[in-house]
Amino acid sequence: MEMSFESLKETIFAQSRTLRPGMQDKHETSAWDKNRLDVESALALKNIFFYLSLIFRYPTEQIYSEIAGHLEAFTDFFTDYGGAVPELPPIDDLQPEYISLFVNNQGFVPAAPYASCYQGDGLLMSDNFYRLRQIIMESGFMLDASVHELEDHLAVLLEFCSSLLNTLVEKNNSSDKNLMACIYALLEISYRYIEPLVDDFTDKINSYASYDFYKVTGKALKSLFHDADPIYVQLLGFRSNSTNELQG
Amino acid sequence: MKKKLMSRRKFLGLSSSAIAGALFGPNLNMLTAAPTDPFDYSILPKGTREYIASNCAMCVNKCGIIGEVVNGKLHKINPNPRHVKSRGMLCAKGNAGVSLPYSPDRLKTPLLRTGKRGEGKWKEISWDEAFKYVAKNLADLKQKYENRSSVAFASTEGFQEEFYYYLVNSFGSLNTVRHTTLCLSTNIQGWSSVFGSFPDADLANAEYVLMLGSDRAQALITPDSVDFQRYKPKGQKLIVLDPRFTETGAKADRWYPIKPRTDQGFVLAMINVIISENLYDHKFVETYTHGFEELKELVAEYTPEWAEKKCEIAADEIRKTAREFADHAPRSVIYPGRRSSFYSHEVYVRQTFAILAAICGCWDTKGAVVPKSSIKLASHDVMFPFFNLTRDRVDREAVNLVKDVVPSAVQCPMIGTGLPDDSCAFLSEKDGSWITFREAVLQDDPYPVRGFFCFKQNPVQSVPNVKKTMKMLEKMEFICVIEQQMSDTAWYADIVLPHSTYLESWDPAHSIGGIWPIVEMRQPVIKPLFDTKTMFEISGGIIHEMLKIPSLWDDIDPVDLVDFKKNVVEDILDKPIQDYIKHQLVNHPGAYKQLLKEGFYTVDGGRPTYGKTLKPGFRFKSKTGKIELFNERYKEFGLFPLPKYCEPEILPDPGQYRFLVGRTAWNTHTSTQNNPYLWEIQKENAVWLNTGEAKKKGIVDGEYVRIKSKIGEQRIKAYVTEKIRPDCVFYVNGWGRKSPGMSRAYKSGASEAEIIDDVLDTISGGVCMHETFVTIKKA
Repeated sequence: MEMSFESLKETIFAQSRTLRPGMQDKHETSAWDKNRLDVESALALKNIFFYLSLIFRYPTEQIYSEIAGHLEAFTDFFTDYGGAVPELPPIDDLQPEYISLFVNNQGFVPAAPYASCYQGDGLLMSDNFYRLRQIIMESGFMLDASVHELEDHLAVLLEFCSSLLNTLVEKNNSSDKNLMACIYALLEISYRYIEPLVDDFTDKINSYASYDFYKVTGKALKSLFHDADPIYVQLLGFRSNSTNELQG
Repeated sequence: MKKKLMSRRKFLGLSSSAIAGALFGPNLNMLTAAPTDPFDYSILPKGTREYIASNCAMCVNKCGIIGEVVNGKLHKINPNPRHVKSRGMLCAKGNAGVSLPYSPDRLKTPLLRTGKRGEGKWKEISWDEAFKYVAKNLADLKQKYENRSSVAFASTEGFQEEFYYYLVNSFGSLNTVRHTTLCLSTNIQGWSSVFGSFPDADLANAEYVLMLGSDRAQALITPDSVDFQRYKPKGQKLIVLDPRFTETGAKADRWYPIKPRTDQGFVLAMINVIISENLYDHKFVETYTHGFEELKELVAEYTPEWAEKKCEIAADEIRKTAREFADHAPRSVIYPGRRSSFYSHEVYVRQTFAILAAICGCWDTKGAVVPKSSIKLASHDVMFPFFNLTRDRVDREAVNLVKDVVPSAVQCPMIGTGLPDDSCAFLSEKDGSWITFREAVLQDDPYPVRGFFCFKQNPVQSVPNVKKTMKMLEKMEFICVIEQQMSDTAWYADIVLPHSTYLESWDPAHSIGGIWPIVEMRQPVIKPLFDTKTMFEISGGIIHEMLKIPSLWDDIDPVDLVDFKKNVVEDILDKPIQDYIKHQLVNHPGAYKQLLKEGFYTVDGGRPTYGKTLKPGFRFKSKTGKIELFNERYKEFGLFPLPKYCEPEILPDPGQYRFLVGRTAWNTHTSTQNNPYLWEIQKENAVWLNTGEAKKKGIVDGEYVRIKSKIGEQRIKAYVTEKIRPDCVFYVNGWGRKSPGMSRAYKSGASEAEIIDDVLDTISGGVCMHETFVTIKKA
């Protein structure tokens, strides 16, 4: 029987459920009709996730160039979700801004970009961290050896979501029975790791940022994840118990 | 609302953003394909639980720990029940160490300043860039000032500190400054003036313990604290002298609220009683000591009645304490303690303590004070080049240093009557003296110091008179800080290098001296979380870059350079640190495996050894080779060879209180106040104010007050209590931080560095933290 979006979310958050056995479950695999995937939307969201991932990385010259080069393409997104198109400061200003907000300020970090810091006691590698590592590995990914970051860094999570959407799109026409696992992973990362972060994270950015760039992009991130339910319903084609409202 | 949602989600259609995605550049991914098929569950890491032995580094005591690591994360730190020194104890700080690697506030990558100093503008750089930058600045400073000592190196104790000195010695500066003169330099000097070394107290076997100014039950937890807790209830008698009724005082058989700065008088009177009543150990004195007759003559005037007027302790009580101490000898301990940066005459105070122990034969025997034993490790025979362009330390080379650069000491009427007025008499080569070093830098006397390295020290918070420290930093053309957190000092650096935590690194073996000597080392309990390095790796990286700059090596013999490259760089720094450790342990078969398994190594089952200095022919490290009650070297230096009583040089004005500072068991100096678990225990400090004094000023308990010295002013909560004398006030250190980032300690309570005047002990170079007077009023 087709699973509703709400049931799916409930399943993900059920404490008794372990991800691995469930993903090979035939019943669950059949709970989603892959033909309903809105490929174009998935590609669009994939790119937004990736662009946001770039934004929340340290702006090296390469990253800065990518952010600057593609900003125009995301004008609509930022206008709708961030309330404005972010004004990109010069790299010499953006780098210290990034450090002072997300890496090290005087003795502390104002807006830690790690999901763990918004769970439990506010420290790194919270109880859900090992599970995140499992999910990433199960999905066929790992951190590149050159990256000295934790897997729950916001930029990694957003890139991971982007990659999962890419997998969904690329394998949509195949008979890959693990597509459902991708969906589980995508939703779990979105709802268990990113969504609980966005409110505090953006509040802290607003309190400490010197420039508007991270305020606007942070607001867009927050609004996007507040809007996640209808987005995923529309994109994945799930039946929703509140379909009409969610789908507008 | 519905309309708005629809509008916002228009990006889900085929839009420019979708097209843009195809144009993202290459090599942008942080994630890569796992080396195995996805969804092959058999390759996934299984849940694991490991127990890894190491040693704590939350304070100086290095207690034995066992890290419980679950799925690669440090879940809990347990005490090591087999550890010979810490005996199964792990204090609040040791337990809270579990949060250290997981603090989001920690430094994660090298940072280079891009704005003005202290402005807080940084950019990330790679380690290669960092090493190049540091090496270039060292070369520039060497060229500009033609003096390698124009760069100073500050540090504090720790296992990795020896690799910091690889960097220091590879550059060739003699200006090193350590924490010792902020802590126990006076204690070491005072006890050493009598016994030639600084001993431990055998609290486990003592019958009678006299503690003056030490709060073993509440201040820094040490193995002594464990023994204190364990043996005090078993009949050990404890006498505590402290202006405050401390937790230790509460556990004592007797507590005397001694007037601050008069401890020496109390002990001198005890010596008077013990000699005049013939209670001293005649045989010990005759066999091992030098200068008894001179001592006898000196103390004749220091009767209990005389001392009563100084200390405000009844003469009969002093007499009783003296008799009891002698009665229990040699199992009587006058506790040497830890920090002794109290008063300008503190060396003489500690000398007096040591003499009391000596005349009663309470030395190197069970239940007494016992010289430290140690396990010898193999050295690496490292030869650093001899550099021509190196001048002597600033705090030694300056002429009339004390008179010129420490005005507060000039005011002291004791100058010329027991305390040197030209320079510090017994300045340690490596430790230096923070106060005189800083003054010399501020006055460019005798030469400019314009480069500053700082490894795991935070002088902005820890050295009295923060304004002067800030001025000193302003004079620097280059500041490099190697730290775990963005400390107040790191904030003013030009480059900050992130050091791995003690739970993530290999640390070399160290021989820890004591009654129960052991060897310790550290192995990683967990993998490093970020792009941090150890001092071993940092020194190696910088030295490699230094070797690429010829001007850094133009004032040495070329043969020295060849040897240096071979013996230091290739044979040590280029090899795994485990090789270094194995060489250290080469004379102790099985020690490396034992250290991996237990985190410590002992010989003879860790049994204490007593009496090695009492064997015939043993020569104490003194001019006479004996225990010197009369110090011959002090006589040569124009100091008091005997512990003449030193009257206070500076007295309070009416309405002033003597300021006392102390430690707690749950914080280490200025480094742990932001720890979330320790913050649960204490959220701010409070100033202890006597009830009667508070009443006069209309101050009630819990009310905020302003405390003011001639150095500065702070706001702090009042703790109105009968547990402190009316003539002094007290608070614990480490609070009232300058950094808003130290969110839990920022503006919580008061800083001592903002209050304490920089008064100097001119024998050891130690800071005198209890020579400041303050006023208090409602905030």
